[in-house]
Amino acid sequence: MERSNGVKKTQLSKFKYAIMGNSAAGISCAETIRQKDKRSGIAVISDEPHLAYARCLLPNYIEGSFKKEDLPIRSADFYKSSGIDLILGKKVVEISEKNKNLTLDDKTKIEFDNLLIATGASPTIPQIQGVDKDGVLGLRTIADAESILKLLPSVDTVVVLGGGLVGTKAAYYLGKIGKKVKIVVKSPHILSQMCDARSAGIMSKEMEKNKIEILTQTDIAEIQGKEKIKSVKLDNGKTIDCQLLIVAKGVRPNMDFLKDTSVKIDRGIVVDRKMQTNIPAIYAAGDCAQGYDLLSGKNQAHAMWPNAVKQARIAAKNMVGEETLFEGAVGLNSLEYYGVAMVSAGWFRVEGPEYEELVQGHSIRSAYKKILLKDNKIAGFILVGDIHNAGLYLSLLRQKTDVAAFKGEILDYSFNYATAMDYLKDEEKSPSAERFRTTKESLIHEIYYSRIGG
Amino acid sequence: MKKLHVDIARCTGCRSCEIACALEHSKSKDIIQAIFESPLPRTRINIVGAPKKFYPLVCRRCEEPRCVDACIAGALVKEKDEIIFREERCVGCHSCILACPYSSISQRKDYSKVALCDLCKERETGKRACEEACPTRCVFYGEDKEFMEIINEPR
Repeated sequence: MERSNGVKKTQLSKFKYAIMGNSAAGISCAETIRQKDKRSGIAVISDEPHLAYARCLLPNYIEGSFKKEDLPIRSADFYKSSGIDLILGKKVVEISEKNKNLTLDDKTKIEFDNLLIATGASPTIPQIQGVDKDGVLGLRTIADAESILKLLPSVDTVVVLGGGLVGTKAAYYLGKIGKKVKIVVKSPHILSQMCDARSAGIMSKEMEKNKIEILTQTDIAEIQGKEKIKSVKLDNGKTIDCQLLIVAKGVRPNMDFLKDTSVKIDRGIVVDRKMQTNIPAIYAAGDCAQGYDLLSGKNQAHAMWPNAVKQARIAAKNMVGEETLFEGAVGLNSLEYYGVAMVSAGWFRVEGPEYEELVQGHSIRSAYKKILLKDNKIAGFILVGDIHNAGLYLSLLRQKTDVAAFKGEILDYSFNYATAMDYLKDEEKSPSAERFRTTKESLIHEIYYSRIGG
Repeated sequence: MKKLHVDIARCTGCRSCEIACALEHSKSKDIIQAIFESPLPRTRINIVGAPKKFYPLVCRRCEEPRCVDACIAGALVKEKDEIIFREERCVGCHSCILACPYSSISQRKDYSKVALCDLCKERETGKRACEEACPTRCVFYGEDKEFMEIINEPR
């Protein structure tokens, strides 16, 4: 069980820590464990043949601004120097929670003391006639991206099914490289999981100005063509000729390998605030997990990179014996298209007497700000254009601060971290911040105003 | 860990630190030429105002930096206890700006990539640009303990 130099020798291996998954959560967990436990064996198992890579950069890879060798977020050296056994291109076919081992598709058995399941999620494939034709692809893995790249030279028109982050990002970057792009979205507007109609309208306008066609309240009824996609037929009867269809209708946690175990699953792998499943030695984190949601206090699956990193770090701490609780996930989104930035967090589609909306908008500067309050606490916000206070609003949201005292100023440009500091707890110790709090007025203010009075 | 500290009592809100920082991160290092550079050089230290005081927003070099967790492009990383921003990897998604609780990361004008204090590691004089520019010696680079000794010195 000693840490290795990265070379796995036998068919049966025993590790103190086994991690299924080599992306945001897998790496975060492995790194955190190694920081705290310098000696024990750590195995990271991935069904992909690649080093840990930035999945969110795949549209940039397709566009050309990132090369394939730029995608990894850790080098091969990282695994070696951290003494992490990296097992690539292998699927886990069986997990025995009683014997605390897992079996790979090449019959290798791996024994573990602690297991983290960080298998992520896979694109949801809608049941549409013709969805198995060539040219119908998700955008989740390097393999997906390479399939798209292979097709691109013969592609004139791309249809993107789904108007969320993945769909709009794919559309944006494909539009940039000169493809004709049409987005088909069921909701009344794009980015319906991320923002409201007005902010989506700002983004839609930018996309349409750049020749991306957005078809709302529409779905695809049939995918046409022989073996290769030739066109799609919409539910309104219209047909669109296209050579590539990107399916971006959300993701589903990868947990089929748990069906013969007693690990509790729901819409994701159910975990408590220590990121532990109902089986003590088994943890889960990231897109595959259904963990504590900060705002609702309930368990919810959140498929977001920063959430995966944090959850995995909490899992790692608990695995090494440092009991820590996850503060809870918050829905987070951020993007920039055509120079217009948009960030959002929390909720924004709720109604009731305890909710209040604060809105500020400028139609000329594509600027729009909205904060949703629940009982005078921030429950969600959307910022378009000027996003400089995004971090501050998120802090106020996470700390459940009562903002009644500055409700009137909170959306102003001049509202800032310093003015809110008295209402916020410092999570990171800062002598400068303490100095700020204990200083009633700056020297210059004291001197100047003592001379002129007032 | 050494980081930037600010003695609020001394800050006059003059923003010399902002100008010095932007200049330091410009191509020409000349104030007139810098105004015409594209992208426009941007300060990493930002003065904000509160009643009767000013506050320079500085990166706190957190132990578990939320910006590093948020970076989807691997542009913000923690290496050997230091936070490093690799601008060439930044795709301008602004996840880090959303993540930072202390407003330490700046959005830039007409340029997607963000700006974060790099502690002037490349600088020849060995002192941070903001440290040198501050007329009231409000900005200090060093350990927490050293800073606390300085501010607790009787005036």
